[in-house]
Amino acid sequence: MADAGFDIEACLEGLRRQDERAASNFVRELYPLVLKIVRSHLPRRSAEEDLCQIVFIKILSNIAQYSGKVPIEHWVSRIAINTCLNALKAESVRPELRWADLSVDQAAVLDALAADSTELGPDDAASSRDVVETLLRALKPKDRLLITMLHLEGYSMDDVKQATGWNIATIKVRAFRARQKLKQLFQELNSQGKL
Amino acid sequence: MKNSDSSLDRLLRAAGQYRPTVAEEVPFGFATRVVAGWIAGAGRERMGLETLWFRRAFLCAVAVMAVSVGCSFKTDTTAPNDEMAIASYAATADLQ
Repeated sequence: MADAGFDIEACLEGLRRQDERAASNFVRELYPLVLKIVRSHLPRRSAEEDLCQIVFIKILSNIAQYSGKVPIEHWVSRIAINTCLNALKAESVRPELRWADLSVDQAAVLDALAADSTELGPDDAASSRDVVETLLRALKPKDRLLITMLHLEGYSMDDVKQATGWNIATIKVRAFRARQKLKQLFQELNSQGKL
Repeated sequence: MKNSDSSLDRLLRAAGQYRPTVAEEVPFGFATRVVAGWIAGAGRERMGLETLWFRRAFLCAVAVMAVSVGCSFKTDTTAPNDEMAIASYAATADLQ
């Protein structure tokens, strides 16, 4: 992730001395990684830039705890994911799903899925993502996180383990239950559309 | 049931194809805001540690003072037993 010209060891050394230039370079280097994670798990009422800022301040404040045993990207990812998870937990209201609240494109995607068994085209990707995100908002934060990582971001179980620190058995059980809940919500939404 | 499973799978696969464009560039002033927040936080942390240290020192000083006041009060109010001390106590009492 870090580019070839970027000397992470020198940067970390600078951060431990509270060098502001090193901190700026660190933020510039790891911003795309943090932004990607924050965008994938952003609570509804949070601004992505604000959440990125919170993540970076947390990282810089705890840099002394980074032992260097894992790549810095993994450590940063874990902090970013935990921060997003806490922000999702703070968003206590989980909205009720209603067909009437869907946009025209979102309803069209669901209609297309019900009409035949062919795969949706790339043109429907953005609307499909919107539908899935609407469904995910009704799930618990950890369930939402898992579905996003495994089904939308293409993480493997090991990647999820690295990023969250949960063990594989927990991930499997939680992912199964999360998927069952998602299926139930999907069925409820579809049954509203058939009325 | 199976049909709904398949529909959900197709929906998830289509949603997984969506890749939002991630801007590589850091927004203007972002790094400065982060660094300022970090430095301010570190300052607060240091001040917090100093406050904690002073509070502990103050509490220790109060405890030492309370013990010494208690001891001296006890010494002043109890009548001594041995003869020399009785004489000294009487002389002091006369002077007062």
